[in-house]
Amino acid sequence: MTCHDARERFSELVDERLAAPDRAAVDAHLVECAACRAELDAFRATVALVRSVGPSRAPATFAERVIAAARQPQPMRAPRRRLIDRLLFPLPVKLPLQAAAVMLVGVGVAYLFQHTPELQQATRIEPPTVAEQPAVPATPSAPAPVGERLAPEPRAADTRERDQLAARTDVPEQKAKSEAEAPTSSVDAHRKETASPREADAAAKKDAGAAPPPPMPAAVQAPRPQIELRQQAPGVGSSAPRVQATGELMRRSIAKTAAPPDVSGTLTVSSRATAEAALRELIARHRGRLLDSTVDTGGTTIELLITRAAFTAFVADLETLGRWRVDRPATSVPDEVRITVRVSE
Amino acid sequence: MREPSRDDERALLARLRRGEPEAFEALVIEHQHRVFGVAFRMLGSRAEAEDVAQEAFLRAYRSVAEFRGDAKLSTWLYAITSRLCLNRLDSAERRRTRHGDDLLESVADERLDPTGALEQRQRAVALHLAIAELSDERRLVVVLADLEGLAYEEIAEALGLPVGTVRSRLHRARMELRERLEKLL
Repeated sequence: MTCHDARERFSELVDERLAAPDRAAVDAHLVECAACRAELDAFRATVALVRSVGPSRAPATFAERVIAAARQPQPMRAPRRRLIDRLLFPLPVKLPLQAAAVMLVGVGVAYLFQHTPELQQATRIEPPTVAEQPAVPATPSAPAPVGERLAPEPRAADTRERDQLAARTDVPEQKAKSEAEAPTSSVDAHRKETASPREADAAAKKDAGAAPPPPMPAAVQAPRPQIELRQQAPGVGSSAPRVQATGELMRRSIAKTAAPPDVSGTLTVSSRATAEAALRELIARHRGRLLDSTVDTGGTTIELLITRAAFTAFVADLETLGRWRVDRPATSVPDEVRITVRVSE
Repeated sequence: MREPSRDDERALLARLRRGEPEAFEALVIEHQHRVFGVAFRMLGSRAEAEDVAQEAFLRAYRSVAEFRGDAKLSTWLYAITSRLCLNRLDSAERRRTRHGDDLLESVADERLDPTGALEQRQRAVALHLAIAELSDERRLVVVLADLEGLAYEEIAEALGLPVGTVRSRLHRARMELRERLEKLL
């Protein structure tokens, strides 16, 4: 055994953790090496000196202050989080519940679709007859678009799209209600579609506002709005606005994904694999969405979405996984916060 | 400090999960010196140590439902405290003031002794300076191993490190201290 090898084992020797064969080898070396014996004596003295540092005791009133702080009313998120934890944990209960919720929504949508002829006609896919046409403007005398009157506004982007398209409608609500004849032209067909604009709108809004399906990347979600837009885009030449609006929505979806994150930072950990698994669990626990995960030589970059309500608690838990350093702090906290976490060792 | 038995810990954990206020009081009273001690040795400032130690207990209080109970309560608290200390040390503001003055002042007070007082205080100051000069990671391992008396496995569990890394890091820290303290030995 060399001097280097022997000295590398001094800590384990002092802590009595050396396996017997190693212990024998070190002892044999020490018998022959005076320098290592002296070094071991100095090493033992160092450890003894460090261990002689007395314990630090908390101040006399420390426990009292901590207990009082714990009794302070918690922020809203904490009770809600505990309630959510009670509802959603353990995992074997949570997953079937979520799956059942998704199925319930799907069944509800299918039921509405089957029992609403207007919806079925509206979603019938027709090839575009005109490649490029200017949008049909709303008539000045048309009342406020039905979509605007009836819609709850859960998502600003989708709502803006619908409002723009609803504004192009030239069929007043009262007139559409009185239509009872079979459509004889494309204009009449579209009027028929809007005979029950409240129903069509309510169904479309319900579809848009329903509990979302399991998280998917933004690009995959893009096709869904096409159906909604068709439902709400009656009128002459509406196929062109449909195509334009769909493309616009897709461009906006792509732009949103390409936009810089709201918050980005670096999480320095001891084990990247362990931290990544814990981070994914954290995302699920806070009902976030994992958007992307890329690995390179320096680390793993994980992009996720978390609701504003869960943001603070998520960051607090993130700090328990390792050293969390914010590179790009949030200038504002939107409803869904996009966070990029760079995990490195 | 007396180590509670495993059964005592399980009972306390069950009470904590039920949200019994007395259980949390018992947790704080039982572990306050451990938690404060680590924070104080890491941060060097009594005020900061109290802040971090209090935060560690509050975090534990809020997240007890997620603690599986497969480790000791003390290990769990050490884990939370260690993370908070490292995060605090890593903050931009903290980097400007690496060492708290409270620690050295308290050392000078603690070591007050009529016989050989000056030399003893000088040794104590040099020792604490040497520990404070270690990198955060090395200092943490030394504090947990040599000041708090944790085994390698407990440290590994608290810090989320392999045992080999703990062993290696502790050895490097001790070798560094050995060089810094050569004149005292």
